[in-house]
Formats: sequence, structure tokens, C-alpha cells
Amino acid sequence: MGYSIAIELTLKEMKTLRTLRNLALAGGCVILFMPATAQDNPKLSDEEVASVAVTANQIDINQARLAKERSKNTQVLQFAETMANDHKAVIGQASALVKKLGVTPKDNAVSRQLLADAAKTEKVLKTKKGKEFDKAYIDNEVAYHKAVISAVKGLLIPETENQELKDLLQNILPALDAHLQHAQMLQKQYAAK
Amino acid sequence: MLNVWVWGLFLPLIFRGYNPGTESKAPKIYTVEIREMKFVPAEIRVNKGDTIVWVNRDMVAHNVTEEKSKAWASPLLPVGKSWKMVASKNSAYFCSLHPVMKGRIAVQ
Ligand SMILES: [Cu+2]
Repeated sequence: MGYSIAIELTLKEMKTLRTLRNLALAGGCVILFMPATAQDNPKLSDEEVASVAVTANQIDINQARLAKERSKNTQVLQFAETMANDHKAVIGQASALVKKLGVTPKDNAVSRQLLADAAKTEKVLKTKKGKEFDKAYIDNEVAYHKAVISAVKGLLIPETENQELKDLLQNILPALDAHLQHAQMLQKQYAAK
Repeated sequence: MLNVWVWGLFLPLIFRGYNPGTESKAPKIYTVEIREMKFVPAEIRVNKGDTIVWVNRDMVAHNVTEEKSKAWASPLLPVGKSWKMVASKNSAYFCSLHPVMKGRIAVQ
């Protein structure tokens, strides 16, 4: 039973990763190998880019909240705290900017897909506790940050018209990268045990 | 006559250069910026007694914490805030919130 859950999560992570990567890479040769939903390079307005950015950050905050409920590991709890605080800070700055620009975030196929994938991941995470939860959560954070980094670089930045919004997205990348490395560091510690 | 003039002007300058006592005693202030999830510069060389100021110019909050035994640490540094410390010995430090952010102080 433990195995089937673990496999299920892995498949879902892969699916999230694949969805985001498809979105990011659509337009290139990968299209040939992709299911119907990902075939078109999504054309996003700045309103839609803003919605995707806020949604992607909110998902990580929600999962950090889950970690705070279910983990007892100090390092995992501290990581989750950092995720919650940093992604809140990013949302705060994104919200301030879109308000200034008069852009109203508009939900769209990409943000809806992110939410649907996150709901599945959260469902699986909720079946786990203790060390099993920690591993699944950290594995998912590694996969999620990789996926978000490639989506920001390959989809959101190229789709953005407004220079200030583009710069904001560009400025988020170092934090995402540090989060990814932090998650990978914790992942390696599990592998060593 | 001209010689005396020239020496009179230059000798003090030359000797000042050779005299480490007077100039290096005054403690200096160095700034380390925190931006794009990095300490810039990551390694700083100072004299004992110099002050180092860390300024958070990033998008998220950070801290500055001695790495080996947490011998010293700043409070949480929200965006725009700074914290200073008088350098006393060589230290490796990091941000405990983002442990991949590392820095080093070399005290001469
Ligand atoms: Cu930090």
C-alpha cells in the first residue's frame, strides 16, 4: 500500500512537471510527443501571466501549510516556513505591481491546470505523515520548483508584454533557484540516511 | 634650494606610506549587500575592529548567522533593513532561512 501511494505521487509529480514543461516548451519539437491539451503554445495576456504567477506562489504556500500540520522534522518545518514567507513576499510585490499597472489577474487554462495538479498532490500528501510525509513533501518541492522555474523562463517571461512585470518575474528566479537548492539539500540528507 | 623644497613636500608623504601605525588604526566600515539570494561580496577582508554592515536589498527577508556553531546571528532582516557587527575573527556565515546562501569574513 505504501508503495502504491508512493508511485501514485511520483506519477502525479511527473504529470505536474510535464504539464508545466510542456507549457514552457510548447512551440518546439516536443509538441510531437505531447497529449492534445498541451499542443498549443498558450497565448497569455499580462492579466493571465499575473494570475499564473500568483497561483503558482499560492500553491507553494498552501503546501507549506500542509507541512506545518503534518511534519515534525525541524528542518522540514523551517523550510516550509521559508517557503510560506518568501512566496507571500513575492505575491505581495506582484500584487502591488499589478495594482500600480492597473492589471487585473485573470484565471486561464494554465492557472486552472496548476490548481488541478496541486489538488491531486495535496490529496496524496494528506494520506501521509511523519517521515513518509517529509520525503513526499520535499520530493514534490524539488519537482515543483524545477517546473515553476522552467515555466517562468520558458512561458511567463516570453509571454509578458509589460517590462516591469517581466522584470519582476526575472527577479523571482534567484529565490526559486535558492529554494530548489535548499529542497535538494534536504533530499540528499534523506538519501544518506 | 629647490631640492629642499621638493624633499620637504615629498618626505612626509613617503614616510606616511611606510608607517602602518597611524592610518590603519582608524576602523573602517564595509558594506555587504544581500541581493538575488547572495551576499555581495561573498568574501570580505577586513581588519579586526572594522565594522561590517549587511543591507537587505532583496525581495525576501534574510538573516546573517555564523555557520559553524551559530556563535553570532543577526535578527531577521526584512527587505530594506540592515544590521552591523564589529569583526573580531575569521568566520563562515550563512542565511539560516536559505542555507544555500553563504559568506565569509577574513580578519587580517
Ligand atoms: Cu536568506
